[in-house]
Amino acid sequence: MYFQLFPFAFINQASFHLLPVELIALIFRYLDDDSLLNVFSTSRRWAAICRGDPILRNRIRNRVREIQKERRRVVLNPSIGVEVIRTEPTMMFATNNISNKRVTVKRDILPRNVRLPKLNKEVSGGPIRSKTNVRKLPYRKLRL
Amino acid sequence: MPQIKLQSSDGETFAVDVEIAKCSVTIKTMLEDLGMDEEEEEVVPLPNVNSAILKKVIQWATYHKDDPPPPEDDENKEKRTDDISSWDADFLKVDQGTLFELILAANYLDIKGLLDVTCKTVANMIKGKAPEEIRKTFNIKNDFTASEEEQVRKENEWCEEK
Repeated sequence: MYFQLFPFAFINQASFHLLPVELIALIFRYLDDDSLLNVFSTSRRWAAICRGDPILRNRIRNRVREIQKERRRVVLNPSIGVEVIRTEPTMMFATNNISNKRVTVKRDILPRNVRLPKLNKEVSGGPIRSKTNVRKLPYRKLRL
Repeated sequence: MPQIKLQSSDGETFAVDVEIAKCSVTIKTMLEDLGMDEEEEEVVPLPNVNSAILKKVIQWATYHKDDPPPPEDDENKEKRTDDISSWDADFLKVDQGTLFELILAANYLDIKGLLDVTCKTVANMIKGKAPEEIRKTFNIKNDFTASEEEQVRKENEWCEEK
C-alpha cells in the first residue's frame, strides 16, 4: 500500500539520471530498431542522446525510412489494388482488394512531395500542358 | 597466490587475488605501470566504488576469472541480448539502483564482461515496451510538450493491419 502511495520513496537514488551520456548510448546500442524508436519518443534527453550518437542516429533514420517506404508502397502501388476510402478528415482507410486486408493509414504521415508515375505518351496523348493546370491521373484519387 | 588490497570509497578494504583483480583493465594497467612488490602492503584506493558494489564486482570477477577474453564486436551490428548466462541472470537480480551503480563501477574499472552483461540486462528491461511503460519503469518525466508528443506519436504510429 505504501508503495502505491509513495512509489518514489522506494526508488533508489541511482538511476538513468546518474549515468553519463556515453553509457546510456552504450545501453541503447543493445536495443533492436523498434525499441530504439520507442526510446526516442520517451523524453527529450533520451531523444537528444539518440540523435547525438552516430550509430543510433543512423539506425533510427534507416528504420524511419523503411517504414515510410512501406507506407508508400501500400498506398501508391496500383498493382496491389488498394482502394482508399476517406471517412473522416484525418483518416484514410485503404482496402486491399486482392487479399481483403484492411489497412489504416494516417493522412498526415503521407509523404508530401510524391512524384506520381508518368503515363505513357500513347495513353495521355503527349505531355500535359500546365495551361489548365489539371492533371487527370488515375492515381490522383489516392491523394485525398 | 599474491594478493592485493582494494579500498572502497567508504574505507573498507578487500583482499583479492591479483589474478582476479586483473579482470579490471584499470587495475591491471595500474599494476603494470607502477610495478608490484610482493612484500609491500599497498592499498589501491577506488574512490568511485562503494563497498557494497565492490563486493558484488569481486564476486562476479571471482566467478568469471577463467573466462576467455570477450571478442571485439562490430559496433554497427545489432547485438544479442538473450545470451546472458543463468548465473549472471541470478547475480543481476538486484534493484535498479544497484544495477546502475554496477554499470558505473564496471565502466570505471573497465571490466568489459561485466559492463556487457549489465547493459544487456537494462536493454532487456527496455525492449518491447511502449514509451509510457519505459517512463514508468525508470521513473522518467515526460518533458515533451503536447505538440511535440503528438508529432512523435504520429511519426511512430502507422498502418495497423486489421
